[in-house]
Amino acid sequence: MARAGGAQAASFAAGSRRYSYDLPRSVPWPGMGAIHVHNLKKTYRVHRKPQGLSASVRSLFRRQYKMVRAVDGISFDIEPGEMVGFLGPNGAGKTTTLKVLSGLIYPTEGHVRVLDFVPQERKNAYRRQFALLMGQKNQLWWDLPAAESFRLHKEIYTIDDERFERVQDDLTEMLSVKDLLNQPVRELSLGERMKMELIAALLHSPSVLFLDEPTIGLDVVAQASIRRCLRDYNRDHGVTVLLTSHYMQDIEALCDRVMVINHGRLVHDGPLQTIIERFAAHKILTLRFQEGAWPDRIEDVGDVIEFNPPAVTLRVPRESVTRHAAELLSAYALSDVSIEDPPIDDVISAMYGDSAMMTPDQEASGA
Amino acid sequence: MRKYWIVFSVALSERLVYRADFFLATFLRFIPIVTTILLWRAIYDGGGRTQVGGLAYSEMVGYYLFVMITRAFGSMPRLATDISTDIRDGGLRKYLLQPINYLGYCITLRAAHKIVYFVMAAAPYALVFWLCRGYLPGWPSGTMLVLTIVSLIFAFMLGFAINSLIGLMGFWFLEVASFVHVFMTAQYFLSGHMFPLSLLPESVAHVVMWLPFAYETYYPTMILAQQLDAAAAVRVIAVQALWVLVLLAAGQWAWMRGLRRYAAFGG
Amino acid sequence: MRARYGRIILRFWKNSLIREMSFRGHFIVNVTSEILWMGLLLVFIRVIFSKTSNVRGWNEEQYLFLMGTHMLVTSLFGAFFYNNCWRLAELVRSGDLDFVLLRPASAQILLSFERVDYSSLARIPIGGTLCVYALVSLEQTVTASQIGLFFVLVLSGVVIMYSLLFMFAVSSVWLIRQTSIDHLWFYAVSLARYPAEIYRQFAGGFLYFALVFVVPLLLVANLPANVMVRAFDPYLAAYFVVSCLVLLGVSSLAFRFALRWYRSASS
Repeated sequence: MARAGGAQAASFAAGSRRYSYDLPRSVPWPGMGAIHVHNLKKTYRVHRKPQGLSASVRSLFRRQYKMVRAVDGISFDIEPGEMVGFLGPNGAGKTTTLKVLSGLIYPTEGHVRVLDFVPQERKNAYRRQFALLMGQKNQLWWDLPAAESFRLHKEIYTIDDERFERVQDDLTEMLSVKDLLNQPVRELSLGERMKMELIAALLHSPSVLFLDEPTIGLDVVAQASIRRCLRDYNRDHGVTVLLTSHYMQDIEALCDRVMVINHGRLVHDGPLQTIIERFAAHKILTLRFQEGAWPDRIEDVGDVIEFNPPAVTLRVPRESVTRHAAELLSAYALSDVSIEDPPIDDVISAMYGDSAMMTPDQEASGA
Repeated sequence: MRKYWIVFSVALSERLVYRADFFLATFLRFIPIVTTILLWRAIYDGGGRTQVGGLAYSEMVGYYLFVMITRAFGSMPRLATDISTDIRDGGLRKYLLQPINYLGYCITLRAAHKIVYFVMAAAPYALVFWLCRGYLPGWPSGTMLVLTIVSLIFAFMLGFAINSLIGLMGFWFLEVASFVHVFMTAQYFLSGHMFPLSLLPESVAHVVMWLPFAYETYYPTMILAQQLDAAAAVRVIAVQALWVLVLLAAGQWAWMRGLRRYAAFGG
Repeated sequence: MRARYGRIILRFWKNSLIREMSFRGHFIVNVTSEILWMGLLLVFIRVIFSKTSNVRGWNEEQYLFLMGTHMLVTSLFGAFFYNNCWRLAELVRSGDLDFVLLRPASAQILLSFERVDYSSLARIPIGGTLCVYALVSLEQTVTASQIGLFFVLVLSGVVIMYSLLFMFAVSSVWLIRQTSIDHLWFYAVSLARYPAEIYRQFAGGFLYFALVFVVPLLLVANLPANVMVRAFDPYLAAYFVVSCLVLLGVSSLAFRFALRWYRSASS
């Protein structure tokens, strides 16, 4: 914050990393980070869907549009080889950010650099260096064996034969789908298909990987397998990964750092654990009483989440949890006591709720 | 009755939303008419004829214009494909759980689509018919008007019956969607959409004119074009009613048999 | 660079073939449909020439040659481009266009060549046979340069059709859901199937002018057929080839413009 720029300083995210952003734009950004995003904003126009019969008749003649700000000034930097989790409720702006980083859409404001490329210039050299994988979309030819789609990728990304064979072998090995290569994609299970999609995304050995819900809808085994592959691949190849997921296990297993976005703004940037420390007001206290040792007014200690005597699970304010546990332990015969952090999903969803109250509605109306 | 009304109004508003596409599509629909008019002019001129297949030139043009109206009633775009897709992809299950008759649902949906289409297309149609008024007969008498409308409604039902029957073949065959293409091609010819069936050599016409396709397009068009008198129109309507009954019954039968099969194979 | 695109396109063709072969049932039905349609068109020609000896100067054999040429043009277009243009609109709608735009290669090339409809090629032997039959019946001798020019014009016609339909598909970035894209193709095909002369007098020649000089669809079959079996206008042929190149360029510009809009307006 060298200059009294004001605007730039204000847009600083609650992050752990600090950079000086107020350099003139013509000077290349110093340092060779993998991804640099500064004050990114994206606004787009949606057709307001008419409700009911008379409204749809009217919309035939005059369409209603509204402007939606999908991303509202976010900034962050990601170092090469980092795996960063990108969390937020639906419509928070995660996918929009990934699309801007891929050069698919233009930012309305702010600037973005990936691997020292400006994504929106869409240079082929850049497009060879990243991959975007979307869990709900299908990039492979539906009616063909995945192997045929891979061969097409080989031509499009001009991967030489020897390298192509090697990479394909490694990846099919890693995800144990070698014997499914020649089966039409439509006959694969969702998990197998997703593994093939992942292979397709990695065939050209990208340096940056954008993953949008890569494990959505998958069974536990397939999820774990994809997670393992991502972790190993990141370790062996140093690929930079930006990952969105609804499954906290994905984030917990893969990402040391988490960014939380809500209503287009970054509300947290740091290690996963700090989210709990910062945002969880409660702890989960589980008690198992010995026979005959049931207290009268257990609900005074905290909110009862689960009640199946002789065990009870309570939500207890953070600051008083140790005191309550100690008191109970001395007053009653307990066979088991545990104090845990609340599930991260709950913390995060509570966070979404909080910040939704803090941030006013971002929608501006227009015709 | 209320659930049908909701299906009806939902379908109605869904249809209304896509305006640009609709106007473009309606406009484009008239392009082949121009071609056909010009081609027949060339044929009448080239042969030095006043009558072809029993029709004067203006009547021939009128025939093609009226075919547009008949087809607007009888055509069921994608109905067969939709039904067979529902059967194949398990979309049918949704309807089986609801207290609603699937075919009843489909025909209600189609009726809604048709009504919206007529409302939206009224202006462009009126314009074209006004421009082409020289080729058209005057307004029909009250009786003929009633008979025409009845015949057109039967054309709608016949179109539905034929197409839904083909869609229901999806219970037994996988390739219904591509078969529909073959069927549409055949229908284009057999229904008299390509040219009036009276132009066919007599032996062929004899067979073709009894098929349901002729009653879906050719005969209602002839009534519209005032080429048939009231008695003949009544006869046409009677045969139409017969075909509708037979085909709807066949459809209902196929539905029952298909469902049993569906249940047995788990969809 | 060019070799690379050659390899990509070859891979597209191979993949399409593998796909087509895994749906042999569909393939057979589609070919049947093609053959049926060709048969019906021949029936129609027979009906026409049972009523007249010529259509604006085209006798039956010349007309057959025109029909054969039209089959060749539409076959090539249908096999290589029709589905791809249609798919572009579909990709815009579903948002899957994004994945094509991610690839380090020309999006227009990737989009235009991805799928081949091999069943559409069934029209080539039929059309070819018709052309040869017509030439033999006419007892006409043709020179090598005539044949060369014929193929140049056939290919130009294919490119013109592609450019026009591609531009139309591109417009789906703005116009949501275009069922009319299918209709447009159908009508464009039906227009060009007839002797261009029938349009000459219509609407003060305006339509003829528009369809020859502005949107040169009318000549895609007429012009090559004229080269072989009738009088031929070298200026018109030159104009046709030039406009094919211009339209190709314009389609590419339109695509880029649409993408720019898409990138700034969507999320």
